[in-house]
Amino acid sequence: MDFLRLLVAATFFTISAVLPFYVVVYVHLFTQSRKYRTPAAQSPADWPTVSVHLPLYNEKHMVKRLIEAVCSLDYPREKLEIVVVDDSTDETSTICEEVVGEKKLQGFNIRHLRRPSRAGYKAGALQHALENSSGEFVAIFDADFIPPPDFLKKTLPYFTEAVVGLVQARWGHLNRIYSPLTAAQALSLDLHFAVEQRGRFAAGYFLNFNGTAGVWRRECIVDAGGWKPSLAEDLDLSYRAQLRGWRIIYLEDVEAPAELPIMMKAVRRQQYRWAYGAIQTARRYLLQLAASRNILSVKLHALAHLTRHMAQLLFTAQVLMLPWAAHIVRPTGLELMVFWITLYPLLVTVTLLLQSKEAGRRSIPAFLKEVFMLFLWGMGTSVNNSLAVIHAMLSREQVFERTPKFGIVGRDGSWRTSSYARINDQYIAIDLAVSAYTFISTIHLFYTGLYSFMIVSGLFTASVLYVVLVSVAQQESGLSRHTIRNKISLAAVAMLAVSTISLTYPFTAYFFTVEKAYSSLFVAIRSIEPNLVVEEIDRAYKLLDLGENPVWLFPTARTDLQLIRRDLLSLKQRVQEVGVQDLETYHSVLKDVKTALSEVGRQLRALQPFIWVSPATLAIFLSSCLAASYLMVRKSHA
Amino acid sequence: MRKWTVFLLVYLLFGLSTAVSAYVVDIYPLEMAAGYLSRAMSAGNADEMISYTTQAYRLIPPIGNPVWVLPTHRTDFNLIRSDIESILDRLSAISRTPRETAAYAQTLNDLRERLDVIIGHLYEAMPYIYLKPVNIAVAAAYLTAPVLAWKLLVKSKTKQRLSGRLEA
Repeated sequence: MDFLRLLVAATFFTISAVLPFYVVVYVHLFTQSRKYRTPAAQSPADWPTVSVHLPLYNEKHMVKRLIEAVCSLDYPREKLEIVVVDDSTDETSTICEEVVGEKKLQGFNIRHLRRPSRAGYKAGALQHALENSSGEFVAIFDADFIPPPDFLKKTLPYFTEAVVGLVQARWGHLNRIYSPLTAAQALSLDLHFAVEQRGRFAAGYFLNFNGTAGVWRRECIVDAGGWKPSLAEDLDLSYRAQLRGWRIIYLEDVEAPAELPIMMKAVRRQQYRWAYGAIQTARRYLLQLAASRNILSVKLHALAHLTRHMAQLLFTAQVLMLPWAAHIVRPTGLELMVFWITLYPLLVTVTLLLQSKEAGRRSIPAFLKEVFMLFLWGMGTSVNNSLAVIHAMLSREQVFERTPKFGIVGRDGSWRTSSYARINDQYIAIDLAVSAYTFISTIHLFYTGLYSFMIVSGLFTASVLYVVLVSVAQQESGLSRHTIRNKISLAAVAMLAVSTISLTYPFTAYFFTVEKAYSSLFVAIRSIEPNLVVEEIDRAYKLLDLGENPVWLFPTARTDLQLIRRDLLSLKQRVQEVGVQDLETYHSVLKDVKTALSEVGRQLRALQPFIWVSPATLAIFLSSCLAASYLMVRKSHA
Repeated sequence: MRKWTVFLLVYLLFGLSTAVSAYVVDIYPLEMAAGYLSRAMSAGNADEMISYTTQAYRLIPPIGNPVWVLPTHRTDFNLIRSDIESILDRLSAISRTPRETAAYAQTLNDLRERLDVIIGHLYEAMPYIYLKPVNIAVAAAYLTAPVLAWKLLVKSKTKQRLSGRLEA
């Protein structure tokens, strides 16, 4: 193997060897999560003082709902302090001021703090709140959360030991049913809590604060150094606290419902922030963690936890390498290796099926649809998350961009006219470019007969295109929702039917005919009867009367059907001419003819994909598929 | 947004057309040569093999080794061409003998195997031709140009904003 191929193969196989690490860790967490037991709790005789910190930045649709919910918390009013840190630049501040004023009149200890600048973003706001409050415990809620009234009384009893620094509750979902995208995100978050948080807690590994719906012990935050600017300030503080010996408790039974982002651009932005923040935290604390006294399994799980988005970068790199690597991997007989690439997302999906409580509550088709959407969405955000990982590794400075929410509950609420719906996402162009590349590579893999590799590349292209299509479909539309709903289903079904027919007909009419000719050649190769050899060559010759060169892109003489047929004719003549009297000549001629026929077989294999999918077929299939996907996405997401 | 979309499309089309033209100039002739050699491998007699092999011979560059990292003799075009010349000589010699002999069949069979090896070596050379240093440099320039342009744009916008503030 030459240097270049060796380099590509080594990189490809190294990634294939690293990716299973994340799969193994995940499987291990899955087994650990089954051992989860709710820890012992003890209600205090005298409830401690609690500060509820509410960091806000342009949340006009939810600020009132949030403050109402926090003021409805069932907790002694004299022990409860509410601090709203408002960095907003729009009408949120006015709404907030009014609501806070009302609540003050009702006797709540509530304050509305404004900062001169947005320094430190959310971490800066939380630090500001910490310095301007006095509660022994600190509860934190993002604007899109609606904490249940008994939240504090259900979480505070778990601070039984002095070493417990944080109690994290599970997130619920206010708008799971809004669209397939919110359903997929809900499932993804369910999985995070059901497998990762449960598993890590049960096994005693490092876990993370989820940024909201948790209660901190003030002493813990102060001891760990307070809130520090980061795109994942929650993960950052969690790791600092745990490295100093504090424990985090995950509570499965306490649920705080929240709103899921409904715009694809918003989801991408959120995912980018999480991926960037995780790698940022890894860079800050991995060495410290490695040098700590924690046992090896804790360190390994923390490594997987903090670098988990790296798996998406590696996966993306492998997919991008496929058109180069496939030609090297195929001759090695390790084609199955390629399935390692799909194993990670598939495993996540299968685990979901096994683990999620939703599986029992919902109909199987509905649940499978959610799983499929999660698969599509998870793979589709790979490019976005890979960029975040690269940027974090290069220490590229990023602004904390909050995820816009619109106060949507269930299917109710509108977002199209909101000023928050205008999101600039320059990275969508990169997604588009990558999907164009992987699309061309899928076509290349198809036409070179590398079908098993084509599956991964095709799925990746479809997923990234799905993300792009949803982003485009969620742009402002002049059509009313009613018009869209009535006409789209029919058009999408018709287009899918056209694309299916456009592929099925040439397969049966041409591809399969070549396959029959190929079989005849191999019957001729294995036969020792000259008559049968002649008969089979003749059959192949007749079957291959399918025109000239089917290769429409850079054709060569190799796949010219007329030349192939001419060779078959002269090979047939040579077999007919040879007599069985001279055995040496007979065997030599048959051997030579069979070598030539093997090459013809290879030539047929090379032209088969081209004879199946002509440019017209390809154009019809792709345009119908794309149009149908766009229409379906528009119906379900826009 | 539309301006950016047009820019992106132009950028992508430029990249695609550059890549395709590089393929047509550097790789496609070798693909055609491999195609003719494949035809020669499956040809029914020596005369046809000569015809195909000669066409392939004309398409292979006369000198040079395209492998620029740790090159070996396998991909030396000069040696490949001299092997093809020997094959052509043997084919010419055998084409003058009767077809229904063991020697004729054995020679053709032997030469088919040699042609197969040559095809393999041509394919081995192809990625190096495509990824030759000049092409890598062009690709790097193509990929970094928009990043640099973006940086410059941001820089000039920041400057403009600052000067605007100072004036205000």
